[in-house]
Amino acid sequence: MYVYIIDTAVIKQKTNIVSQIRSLSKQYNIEGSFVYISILHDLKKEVLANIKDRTNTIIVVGNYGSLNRVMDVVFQLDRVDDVVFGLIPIELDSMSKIFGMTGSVDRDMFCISQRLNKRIDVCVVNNKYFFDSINFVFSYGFNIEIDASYIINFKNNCEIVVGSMFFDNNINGLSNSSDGFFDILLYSKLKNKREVAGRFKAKKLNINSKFNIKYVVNGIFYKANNIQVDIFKEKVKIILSKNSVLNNL
Amino acid sequence: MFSKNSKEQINSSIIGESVLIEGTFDCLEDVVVHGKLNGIIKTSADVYIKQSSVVNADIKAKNLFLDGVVNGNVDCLEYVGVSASAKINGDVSTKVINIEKGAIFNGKCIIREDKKLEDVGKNNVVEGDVIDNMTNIGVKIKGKKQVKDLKN
Repeated sequence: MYVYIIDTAVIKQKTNIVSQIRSLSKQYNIEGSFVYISILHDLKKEVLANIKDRTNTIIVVGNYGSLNRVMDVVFQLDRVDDVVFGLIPIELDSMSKIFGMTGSVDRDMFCISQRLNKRIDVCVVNNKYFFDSINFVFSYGFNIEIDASYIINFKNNCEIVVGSMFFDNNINGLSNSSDGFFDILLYSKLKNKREVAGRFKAKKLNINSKFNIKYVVNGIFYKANNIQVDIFKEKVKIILSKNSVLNNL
Repeated sequence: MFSKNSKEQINSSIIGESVLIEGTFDCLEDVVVHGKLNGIIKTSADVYIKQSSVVNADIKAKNLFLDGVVNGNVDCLEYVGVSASAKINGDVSTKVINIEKGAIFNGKCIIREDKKLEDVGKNNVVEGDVIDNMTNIGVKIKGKKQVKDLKN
């Protein structure tokens, strides 16, 4: 059973895309129900109503933020194992590239119909789920502990990027999205200079700071003194195109 | 330190020059140390300790490539390479060891299985006891030399 979740906040006036998806879903034999979401909708209620008793393929039509919001709800409902996620990107962003989607609805619907699946890791930061990366920036009075096993002492102002799936030119490639670990990139920030000061793989990261650390998860702004990042116990299934960079890992 | 197209970038844990790690650094991939580490390093892959770094730790790994300073015992499954700039204060246990001229080694060296001490370069000085089940080939040993069949 396919469920197409249309993010109206992203699509805006591009209504012809929905009719195109409807007709292509018939053509490729991947028909399903259509759910329209916006910032005002109770996303949890909508998703729950549509994945209640069945195993489903959820195709999010929108951008990466839309996909993350839907995933977050599915994780909270503890239904990860029942769902395969796909993305029809309206805007091309880093995540659509990772999925190998092109922004051409016709081509992307064909990729969805081919159902090339991969299981990837998901991270949890203070009970919020994400599967790309998060940045934390802080200056002093902080303590970084990894896997409850070792502590990183670092005197400079720093930025930490955490995630199970991200590109970074400084580390020459993509982190492995399905090895059961997330990557931690530690940047030293001196004046206007930002340099990689360390790279670590971990399953658990704790940051304690005297001052609030600001971060953004799935487009929502948070701040906290204590931050805990874990790898989620289950991997999430996503549909990729054969051009996805994840196929080469 | 993080130049592109280098093998260490892709699948390694990297401890930068400005970083101090305290505790047990336990991982599955290569570890490259440019900074300082106090505690223990454990990995099933290789450890690279660069010239600027000081490691006050016991090291357990497959191979060790040492350019910096280690204060602690080293236990490597396959190979220990000690460059001219390196210093070890501790015992080493491995199958093959290669010590370059100019390196400082204060401790015992245990060569496991049937490997000879021939990978230790000539004219080097080992300041400590060497336990070797075969013959040594021109290495000056200031401590005791004990010939021992470790299999028995």
